[in-house]
This record gives sequence, C-alpha cells and structure tokens, in this order.
Amino acid sequence: MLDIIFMALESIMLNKVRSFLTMLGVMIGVASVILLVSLGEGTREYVSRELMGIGTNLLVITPGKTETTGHAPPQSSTSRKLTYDDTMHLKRNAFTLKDVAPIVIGTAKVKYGNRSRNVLTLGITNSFQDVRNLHVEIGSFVSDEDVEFHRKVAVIGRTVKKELFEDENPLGKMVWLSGVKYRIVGIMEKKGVSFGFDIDDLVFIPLKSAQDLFDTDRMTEILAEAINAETVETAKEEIIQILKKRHDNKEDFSVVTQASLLSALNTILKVLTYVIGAIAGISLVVGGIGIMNIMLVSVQERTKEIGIRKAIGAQNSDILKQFLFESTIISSFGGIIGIMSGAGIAYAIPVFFPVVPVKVSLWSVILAFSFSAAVGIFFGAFPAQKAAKLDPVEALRYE
Amino acid sequence: MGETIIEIKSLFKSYHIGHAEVPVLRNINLAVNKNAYMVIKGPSGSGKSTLMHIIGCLDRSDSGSYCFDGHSVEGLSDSDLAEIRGGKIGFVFQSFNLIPRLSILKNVEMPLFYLGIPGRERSNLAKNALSRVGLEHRLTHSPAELSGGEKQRVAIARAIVTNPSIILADEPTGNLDSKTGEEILKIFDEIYREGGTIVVVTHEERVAERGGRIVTILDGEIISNIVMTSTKT
Repeated sequence: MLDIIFMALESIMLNKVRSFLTMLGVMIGVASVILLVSLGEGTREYVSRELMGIGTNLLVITPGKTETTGHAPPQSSTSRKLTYDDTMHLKRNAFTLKDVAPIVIGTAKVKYGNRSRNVLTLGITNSFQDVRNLHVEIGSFVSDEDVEFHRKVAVIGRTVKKELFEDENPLGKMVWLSGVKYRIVGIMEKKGVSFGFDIDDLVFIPLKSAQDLFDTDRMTEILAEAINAETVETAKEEIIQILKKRHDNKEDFSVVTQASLLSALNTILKVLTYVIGAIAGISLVVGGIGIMNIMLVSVQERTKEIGIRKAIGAQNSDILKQFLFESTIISSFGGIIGIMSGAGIAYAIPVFFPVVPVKVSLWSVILAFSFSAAVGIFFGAFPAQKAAKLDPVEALRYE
Repeated sequence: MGETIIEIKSLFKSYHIGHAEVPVLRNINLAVNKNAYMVIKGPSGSGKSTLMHIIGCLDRSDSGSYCFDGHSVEGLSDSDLAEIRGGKIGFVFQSFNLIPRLSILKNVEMPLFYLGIPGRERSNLAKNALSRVGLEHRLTHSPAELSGGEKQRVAIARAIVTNPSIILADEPTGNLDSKTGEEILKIFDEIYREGGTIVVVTHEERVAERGGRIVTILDGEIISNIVMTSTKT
C-alpha cells in the first residue's frame, strides 16, 4: 500500500509543473469554498451574537398585525394603538412576564450651546435597562417617578456625549430637546455599532415626557421579558390573550419572540451559506475535470509502461490503484493547500476589514477536504479504469 | 525426459480487423519440458510473437487447450493470469521495455513489488539478479544511461529475479549488434545450464542455433520441430 502511494508520489514529482497546475484547480475551488462559507458562518454568528445581546427571552409587541398569512382582512379605520395602559395591564396581569418595557421612538434636535444634532430619542421607563440590556454607566437612569411626573431629564449615549460635550462633563447640564429644556442625569455605557446602527447615538427620556414631546399616546413598541426560556412561548400566548381582551377581541398587534426572530434569520443565513458554498463547489468540480483530463493524458503517455507492468505481473487492480492514488494525492494536496490559503485569507480579512465577520468553521474545512479527495477519486476513476483495462499485448506494442 | 511445463493442443488464434477474421495461429501443438532451451523461429508475421504472448499468458487463444505447469490456463481470470506472469514467467523483449524514469534497481525490483515482497528483501533479490548479469555496479543509473547490451542485461535480471519457471525472450538480440548479442545469448546459456527453462523467439539463424530444439513456424503453423541432440548435453 505504502509502496503504491510512494510510486504515485514519484510520478507526481516527475511532472512538477503539470501536477501543480492540476492541483491549482482544486486549490482554488477549496479555497473559495472555505472562504465563502467562512463569511457566511461569520455573518450568522455575528447576527445571533448581536441579537442575543439585545436581551434575554425577549418578546417584541408592535401595533398592527404583520404576521397574518393570506389576504389581510379589510382593515377598519379603528386600528387600535398600543397604549401605556396596555403596558401597565401586561405588567400587572401577565404571570409569565418578568418585566415590560414600553418604548416611544422619535427624532429630536438636541442642542447644547451652539452645537446641535438630530438624534433618535427613546421614551422609556426604568425597566428598559434590564429588558433591553442597555445600562447607564455614569449618573442615573430614568426612574419611575421621572416617568410619572413627566420630568424633563435625559440620559445620553456616548456618541451624543462626544459630539455635544467633547471632554466636558455633561451631568447636570441643560440641553434643548426640540425646544424643550432637559437636564442630563446619566450617560449610557458604550455599546458600539450593531447591524450598522450606532447604539451610542441615542437619547433616553421618560416615556411620558416623550409622549408630550412627540405629541402621541401610542407606544412604538413594547418589549417584554419572559421569566425564562421555557415560558417564552406561553408568554406570547398570554400577551395575546390579555391584549385581545383590551382591544375588542381583535388581534391588531404582533408579538415576535427573540428566539423565533433568531431562528428565522439563522435559517436564512444558513441557506445563504450553503448556496454560496455550493456555488464555490462548482469550481471544485471544474478542478476535478482538470484532474480527469490530465490523468487521461498521463494514462495515454504511459500506455507502454502499463503494458510492461502488466507483463511482469501487475494486476489490473494494481494499475487502477496506481492511477487512482495519483489523482487522489493531487486533489488532496490541492485541497490541503486550498484549505490553508482559504483559511489564511479568511483570518486575514478581519485584520484589514474589521467590520467583515468571518468564522472558519471546522465543518467547512472537513467538508472541503473530503470533497476534494472525493473529486480526485471520482474524476480519477475513469482514467484509472481505462489504464487498468488496457490489453497488455496492445499496450506493449504502443510507442 | 523431465516434466512438461508447457502443453499446447490444437490451439487457434485469429485477429479481427474490421469484419475480416485473420487467422494468426492454426492448430498449434507444442509441449515443452522443464529445463529445455527451445527456439521458435520464423519470419516476421508468421505468428511467432502471438504464440509467445499466449505462452506468456499475456494473450488468450480462441480455442484449443493450454496447460502451464500442469494447470489449464483457459477460463482463468485476468488477475489469475497476472499472477502467473508475475510469479512463474520472466519476459525479455526486443526493445528491452525498461521503465525509463525508474532506476535500474527499481526496474528489477518491480516484479517482486507486484508479488508483494517487502522492500528490503526486494532490494536484496534485485541486487542479486543484477550481479548475475554483471551489473551490480550500476544500480542507481537510469536506463537511458546504459548501452543496449546493458539494458538487455537489466531486462534479463528483471526476468530472473522472481526465479520463474520459464524465461520467454522475444527477439532478445534484435536491437543489438552481434557482439553484444552474443553476450546476451551467453547469459541465456548459463541460465539454461543452471536448470532454467528458456523459450526464445527469433528470426535470426545464429540465435536459433543455440537452442536444444528449434520449432519453425510459418503462416501460423508449425512446419518443423527439430531436437538438436548434438550441440548441447
């Protein structure tokens, strides 16, 4: 066995350039499979990490029914909004919810001194901190009293702080929020960019103050946190029950769980990864055809040698193995080099482009390698068969 | 005399060229004893090479029976035939048929390789065979670096390395000048004296004269079968 492998290696080494060029096809194929799958997997991991970071066991309630399948029923103009009372009702009556965080979102022009900036402004309650997993770092967060008494206090994100105050301490300073004076009571911890959105470029104010500011009594959305992972689905049912009762038994809102969102995105990205991996796999097949081509030439060239080997006792299977090993070694070698260069590029990408998420997964490496070896066996089989079946007398006569 | 190694009875062989059937061997009957030195003589196209291929289990007959070393060869699989070729037959060809990219030693080792003999033993046996033909000093050379006579000696070493029951030589001196040809024939004489069985196919008279028995073939038929009692003892 070892001797046959050695023999195959010898003939590969004899035609170094040819063998290398043949390998190149498989190499590029494997490298692109690894690279593209790494990008796909990296993206998937990034998405789930970011989504998990939003909070735990989260449910998002939004007004309007968006989950219906089929035709939407003719909407009456009395489409209900989600109100602060809805929130309070959920908080009081839902057994499966740990906490509820209503949110009103609007954009406000924040002005300090002669600097101003248009910032996404969130009206929230104190529970927002834990439910959404965003915490204040310096100072204090919006309290329940702040909400109840419509206090004009604000907590700002890091980006807002940097843009408006630079090195100045903003705590206790007054800012204008769309013409209303607010006092800054806290600064959020740094969170960075998620899905291309700067979490630090936000201003938080008490929910009821936000309702005054944006002149609305609708909640943009309500976040709810279930007690634990097991109760998420029950919590969803409970929320629907409670809100339906308050909405004339109409389900004119949507409840999406964090888990279902995650699994939906996961599925999409997985399919995407497989698809791009498969497209890259096509180049592997092309590489395999290259191997077959070269092996056919090689068999033709070595017809006489095959005849000699058969005359002195080589079995058909010996000849078959010799050529099969040769093609498999070429493709596996190409596979190994391809894995190294593919993984190398994948690891190099974050160094130059930190935003691009990349993850070299073991399964893609194993898959690409076994696929490349399989390509060698599959595309080497026909030439090797051809060699093995040569008639010894005719092969000997071949010049 | 001794045991029979080759026994051929009413053997026929023809080739198909397009739709035409061209008979190559017609009703061949031949028996060869162990430790014989037989020459098959005939002009080119007479079918002597085909006969040698059949004797050497490289080719199959269309009809008739062929017993090699007491066993019928008909009906054997390709792999059984390969086994016989590898273990019991040693071929020497007109054009040497060495593998050019392998060293002399590797060339001689090759039949042992296919017999599954492990590396060290293989190399010892091959060196032994090469020293029998006087080439023990050229082990690592490639065939291209050798003269024609040397190449043929390597081929003979390759043929005898497995200690085969029979040596089959197809025009072994055909590509050599008469002096080197003579050297090759001397090696055959020696193998014969040491108890080997040799079948040489040739069209050269001076080669034919060496044999203890001359079978003449013409148009696919054996036309004479002479045992030379005087030349060899």
